Amino acid sequence: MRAREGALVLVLVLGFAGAVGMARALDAGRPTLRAVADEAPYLAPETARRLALGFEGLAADWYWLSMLQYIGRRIEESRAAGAAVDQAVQLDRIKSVDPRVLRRLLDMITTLDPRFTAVYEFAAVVLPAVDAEAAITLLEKGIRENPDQWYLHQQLAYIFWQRGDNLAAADAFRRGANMTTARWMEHMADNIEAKGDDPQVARAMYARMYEQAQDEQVKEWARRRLMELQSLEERRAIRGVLSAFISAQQRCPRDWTEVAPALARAGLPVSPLGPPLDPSGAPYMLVLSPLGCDVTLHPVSTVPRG
Amino acid sequence: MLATTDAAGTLDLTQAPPVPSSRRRVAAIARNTFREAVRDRVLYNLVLFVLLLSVSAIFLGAASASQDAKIIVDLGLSAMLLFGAFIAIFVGVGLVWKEIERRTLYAIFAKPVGRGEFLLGKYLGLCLTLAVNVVVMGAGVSLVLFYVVSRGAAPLLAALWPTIALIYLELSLLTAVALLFSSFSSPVFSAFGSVAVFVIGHFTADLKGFATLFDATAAKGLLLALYYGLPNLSTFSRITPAAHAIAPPAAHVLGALAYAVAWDVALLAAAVLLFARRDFK
Repeated sequence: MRAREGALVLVLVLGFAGAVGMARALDAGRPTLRAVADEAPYLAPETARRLALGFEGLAADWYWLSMLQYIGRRIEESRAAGAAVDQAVQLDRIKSVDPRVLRRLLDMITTLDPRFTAVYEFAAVVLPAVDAEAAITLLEKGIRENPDQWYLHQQLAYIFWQRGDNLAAADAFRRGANMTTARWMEHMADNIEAKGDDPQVARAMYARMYEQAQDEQVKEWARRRLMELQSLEERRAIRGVLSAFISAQQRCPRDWTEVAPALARAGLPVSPLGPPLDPSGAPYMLVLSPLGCDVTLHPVSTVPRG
Repeated sequence: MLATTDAAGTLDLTQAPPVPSSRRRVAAIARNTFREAVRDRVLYNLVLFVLLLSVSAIFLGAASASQDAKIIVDLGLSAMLLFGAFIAIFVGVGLVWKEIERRTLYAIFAKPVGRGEFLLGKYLGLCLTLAVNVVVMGAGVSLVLFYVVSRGAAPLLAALWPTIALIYLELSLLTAVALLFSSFSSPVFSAFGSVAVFVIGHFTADLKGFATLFDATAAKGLLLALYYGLPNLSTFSRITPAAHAIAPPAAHVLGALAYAVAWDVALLAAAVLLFARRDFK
C-alpha cells in the first residue's frame, strides 16, 4: 500500500514538473505578450459598470492598480532608457505613457466608482503632461459626480494654471470658494488673476495641494515641488551674497566660510562648517571656475533638479 | 406512541406524547439544518476569506498608493457577497434534494411536521448559517481595517456594518429563491435558475430604464413586468459607497428590509404551495 502511494506521489510530482517544463518550453517559442495593463480596457465604461453585478468598487480598484502598474512600468522603461527620472517629482512630467491608455483607464475607474476622488487628484497631476483637455474633462466629471468635494475645483484650477490659463484657474477657484467658508480659495483666485506667474502664487498653489492631497504620491510630489521652489529662492539669495562679495573683494570666495556670516544674515540656514544647507539638509556646492563662481545642488541632495 | 406513567406510577398506554408547537418544530429543523451545514464544512470558506484579507492587508499598502483601506472594504464586502451567494445558492438548492435523495424526508413527514414548517425550518437554518458567516467576515474586515488605518477607522466601520446588513438581506432573498427552485425541480436547474436570478437581479434597474425607450405598449409592459416580477438586487448593493465611508441612510436600510421581507414571504409562500403539491411516491 505504501509503495503504491509512493509511486502515485512520484507520478504526481513528475507530472507537475513535466507540465511546468513544457509550459516554459512553449513560452520560449512564443512572442512575449504585452502586459494586460498596457492595453486600454476593451469594454465601454458604462457597459462594464452594468456588468459588474454590484462589484463596481472592486472592479475600479483592479483598474486603479493596473493603472499604477502601467505608469510604474513606463517610468522604469524611461529609466532603463537612460532618462534621469525621479518618479516622485516627475509625476507631472511623464511623457512616455500612451495618452489613449491612460485616458481610458481613468475614465473606466471613475465610471465604475465616481466617488474615487484620489483618482481625480492623481489625474490632475499626471494627465496634463500628455492630454490637458482630457484632464480638464475628467476633473469636470469629478466635480459633477462629487458636488460636495470643493477641493476638486482646486485640482481643476491647478491644471488651468499649469497651462497658463490664469483666468480659467481663477474662475475654478471662485467656484470652489462658493462651496466652503475657507476664504483662501478666493484669495488664490484674486492672486492668480493679478499675478499668476509669481513664484509666491506657485508656492501657495503647491502648499495647498500638499495640505489637501489624499493620495500619498500626490502629497509627496507637492512636497518636493515646494522644496524645489524654496531651493530656487535660496540659490537666488546665495547668488546675491556672492555678487556682493565679488563687488567688495574683486574675487570669488575661496570657500563658504568667507561668506557664511553674510549668508546667515540673509536668513539662510548655514552649517557650522560654513556651507549653506538646502531644504533636504544637504550642503550647497560652491562652483569656482575661471568665469566666476556660482552655487549648485550637491549630488547627495534630494531637491528636484527641474 | 410512547408509554407514559402518572404520579401513582400507573402505566398509561393510551395517552399520546405532547406534540411540540409549530414554532418549536420549525426551530428544530432550522437547528438541524445549521448543524448539517457546519458538519458539511460550509463555514470553511471563512478560512479562505481570512487568508484573502490577510494577504491583501500585507501587500496592498505598497501596491495601491495609499488606497489600501478602500480596497480592503471593497474586497472584503465583495468576497462576503460572493461567498455568501455561493452558499445561499449551492447549499440552498440541496436543502430539499438531499432529504429526498437520502430518503430522510419520509421519516420527517412521518412525524407531525407540515411541509410548510419543513421548508421554513430549512430556510431559517440556512439563514442562520449565512448570518454566522457574514458576522465573522464582518469582524474580520473590521480587524483588518483597524490594522491598516488604526486612526480614522471609525467612519469606515460606521458605513461597514449597515452595508453588511444589506448584503445579508440580499443573501436571505437568494436563499428563498434557491429554496423556491428546489421545491419543484432538480438541483442543476435550481442552481442555474438561482444564478440567473442573481445576475438578472442586478440588471433589473436597467429594465425599467429600457421600458421608457419603447413606444410599443406590449414591449413596455413586458419589461415593466420583468422589473416588478424579479427582485431588484441593486437595492442591496452599497459596497462602493461604503468603501468611501458613506453609510446607507437609515431610511434606505429600512426600505430594503421591508423589500427583502416582502420578497422572502412571497417566495417562501410560492415554495410551500409548489412543495405541497409535489408527489414523493
